[in-house]
Amino acid sequence: MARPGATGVGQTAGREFQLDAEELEDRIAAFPLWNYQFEFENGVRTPIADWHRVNRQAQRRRHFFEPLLSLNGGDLAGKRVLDLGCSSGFWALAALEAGAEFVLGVEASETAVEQAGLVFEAKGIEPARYRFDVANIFEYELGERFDIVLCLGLLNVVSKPVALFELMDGAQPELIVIDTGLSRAPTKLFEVSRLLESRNRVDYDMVLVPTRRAVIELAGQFGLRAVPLAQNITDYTSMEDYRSQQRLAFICSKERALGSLAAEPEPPSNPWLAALDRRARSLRARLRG
Amino acid sequence: MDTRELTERIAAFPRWHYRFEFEGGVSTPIAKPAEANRHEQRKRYFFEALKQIHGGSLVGKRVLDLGCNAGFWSLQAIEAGADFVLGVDGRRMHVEQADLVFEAKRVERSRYRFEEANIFTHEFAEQFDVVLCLGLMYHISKPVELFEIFEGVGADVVVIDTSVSFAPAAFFEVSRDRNLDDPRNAVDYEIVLVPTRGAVVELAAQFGFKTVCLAHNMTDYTGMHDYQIQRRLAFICAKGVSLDALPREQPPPVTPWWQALLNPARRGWQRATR
Repeated sequence: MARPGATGVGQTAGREFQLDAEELEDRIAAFPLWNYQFEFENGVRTPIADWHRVNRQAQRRRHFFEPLLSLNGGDLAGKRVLDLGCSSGFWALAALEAGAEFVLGVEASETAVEQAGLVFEAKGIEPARYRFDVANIFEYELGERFDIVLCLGLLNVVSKPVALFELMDGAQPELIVIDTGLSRAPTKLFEVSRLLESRNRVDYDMVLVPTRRAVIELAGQFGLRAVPLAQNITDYTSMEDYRSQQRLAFICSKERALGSLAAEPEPPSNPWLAALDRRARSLRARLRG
Repeated sequence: MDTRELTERIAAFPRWHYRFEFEGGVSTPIAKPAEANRHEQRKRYFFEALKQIHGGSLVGKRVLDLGCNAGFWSLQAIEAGADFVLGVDGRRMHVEQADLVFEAKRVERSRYRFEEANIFTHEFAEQFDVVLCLGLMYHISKPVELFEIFEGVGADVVVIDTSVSFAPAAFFEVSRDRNLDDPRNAVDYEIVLVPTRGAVVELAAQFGFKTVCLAHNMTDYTGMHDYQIQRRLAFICAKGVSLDALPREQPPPVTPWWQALLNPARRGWQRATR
């Protein structure tokens, strides 16, 4: 996952490795479940139940993280990044490895934050460059400014979309990346849905899942222009939700020009056309792969 | 207060939404006479139902009226015997109108209070038995936070009168109140979330309320086009209070537009949240 030459990696190289492989493996094994695969020196990895998810994260990186980097000239040097619902710190780490100056991760799950702490320690990241807070984001007082907000897999598991935007707006960021599950209705609405897995629960089981147009409209209320990102996915393994247009990422900004971003065309509302289009996409993807 | 003073104080306001009648033949001027019928019919529709589930009166109840406007429904509650009413509205003018109405009606000061506040930032320190949420829900963008207020004040009955989206599923349509200067509209965002009937029921269930969508019983739909076309409905949500006696509105037929939207890909459209 590390980008060659990114500052975070460079800094660890000369330093003495803090955890030996055996201790690291023990501490990794102490957690019952890892959602993301992290790779460390000495070939140690976090075990994940579904190996297809490795592809998922690689593809999501192509889908929204690469466009974020390219908007910033290829890296995140000097940026302060806020990662809302950071889980075990996968994207926070990606931000640091891309040169971010500082990352704050906020996450309701104490276990996930402990995992993030272990990952960052094992990666030898300087403690001054990151902080993880265990908190319910809707009770969280931010009090700091950030250049970039990551809101990945969060909007579709909350019941308070407007409050979430208020929180993000409070960080006064240049850029917001939203990766979210979507309702496919071809209009502006939030579908009332229920969480199937309670591990994703932020406050209620009931959640409001936006349509693509609802995300754009809500961002607009906060003066943000939202660009639905072209999927740019080469392998849809474990990416069914993206393939069926039930998940997509957006980059939003008030002032930054987003014209260079490739936008995902709106799916045709006719279901037959949509099915044909999906077929064509998967064929194209297979040919490329 | 004599008739002349009351007339002058009423005339000092640029706009009245509700018609109030006082002693001496004084009344508040409303722009559209049809609205007088509208509010009489609304009284028949949901306020009678509210009294019915409490055995015919609100004696002994503490009532919170959210988005109280000039206190029309707060006054109904007091006249139905409620102990105390707190009316909250985002606009100064409405609070001043409500204070004038209650003064002219000679309601005891200890039985009411009106406050200007954004309900989403206001700290509700008191407990209430009944919450009136009339003509408010479709002007806001925070439906879940609204129910947190109901929960926070310990209400066991909530009356919700709202415009609804026609869609035959549980969701909130994103719409806009274009003009925040219009005194009927929200005080924070232009963007509003208009619930479907199913969304009101699901949201209430999340907070432990059973909900009845009240059957229309209007005798005259003058000034009530939105109700007539099923675009507006009232709901009573309750915990521990029986709603069995209330007549329920039948779901409307699914319009062709929604049928086209929902049916062909029904299985795929109803997503499972990851």
